Amino acid sequence: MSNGAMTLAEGSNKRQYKTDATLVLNGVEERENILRTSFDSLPVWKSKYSVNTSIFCPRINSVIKKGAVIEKEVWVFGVDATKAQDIIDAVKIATSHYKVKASDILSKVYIKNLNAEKEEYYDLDFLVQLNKNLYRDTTAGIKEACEYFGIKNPVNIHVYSSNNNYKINKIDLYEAFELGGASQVKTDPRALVYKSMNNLGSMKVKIKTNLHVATINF
Amino acid sequence: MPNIWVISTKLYVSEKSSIPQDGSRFYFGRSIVPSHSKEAAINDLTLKLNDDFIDIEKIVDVVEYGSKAWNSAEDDDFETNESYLDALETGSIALGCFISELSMEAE
Repeated sequence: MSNGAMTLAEGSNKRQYKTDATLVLNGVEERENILRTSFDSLPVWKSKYSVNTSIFCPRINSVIKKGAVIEKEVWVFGVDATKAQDIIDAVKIATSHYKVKASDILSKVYIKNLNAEKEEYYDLDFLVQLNKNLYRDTTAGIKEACEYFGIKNPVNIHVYSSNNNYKINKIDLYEAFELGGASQVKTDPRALVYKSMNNLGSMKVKIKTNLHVATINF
Repeated sequence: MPNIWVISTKLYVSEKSSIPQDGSRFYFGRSIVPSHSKEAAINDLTLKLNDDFIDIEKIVDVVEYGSKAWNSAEDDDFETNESYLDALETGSIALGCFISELSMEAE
C-alpha cells in the first residue's frame, strides 16, 4: 500500500504550520515519502518565511522547477496547483528522489485553506467565487496529472477548511470539487485544530477546522 | 531604547480580514509592541490590526516583557517568545499567533 503523499500550497516550513499529511477519513496513516509544494517561487517563499538557505541540503532542481530536501522531505517551489504540468514536474522530482512510482505520491493529496491571491482587492462574494474556481481548477489539475501518469486507482484530495470559512464554506467547497471532476466528497466528523497563515505569511492564527475528502475515480 | 510591551487582546475579526477564520465570534492575541509609552503602544497596535480589518474588543492586559516569564502553554500558542525575538530584531510590532474562541473550546 502507498504511504506517500503530496501537499499543495504550503506556506511556512515550521512544524506547526506545515500541512498535516497523515490524516485520512476517520483515521491516521503513517507517511514515509511526502512531497510538499509551494505556490511561491523559491525567492518569494524564502523572504516571506525568513528561511535561511542553509536548510537546503541537497538542492534537487529540475530544469523547470526548484526543489530542496528539507528535514528529509522533498519541497518543490513555484507550483500552481491548477496547472497539471506544474504538478507533473513536481511529482517527477519527488519520484526521482524517493525512487517510488508517481501513484505513491499522487494517490493522497493534501491542501490547507486554499485562498485566491490579492484578496484585498475583492469583495467577499467575488472572493468566494474565485476560491470556488481555485478548488475546481485544482481538482481538475490533479485529475489531469493522474491521467498523465496512468493512475487508475481512486485518488483522494484532503482539504482542511472550516465548515464556517467565510472565504468558501462547506457547500461551495463540495460544489467546487464536483465541478472539478470529483465523484464523491465526505467530511470527517472530528473537530480539528490547526495553525494557519494568510497568503502573505504575515498573519498567523490557530483555528478550529474540518477535514473534507474528495475522491477522484478513473 | 523603547520599552517592549506585551499586550493581550480580545479581538473582533471582520470577514474581510486576510486571516483564515472558523466563524468564531472573537479571537485572542498576545502581541509584542516596542514603544516609549503604554498608551502609544496600544495605539500603534490598534492601527496595525485595523489595517487588516481587526478591531480590539478589549485590552486584557498590558505589561512590560521583562516583568514576568512567558513560558505557559498559552504562550506557546501565542508564540510570545518568538514574537519578542522578532520585535527585537525588526524594532516593529510582532503580532504573534491569534487564537480563535472556537479552537479554545474544541481543545
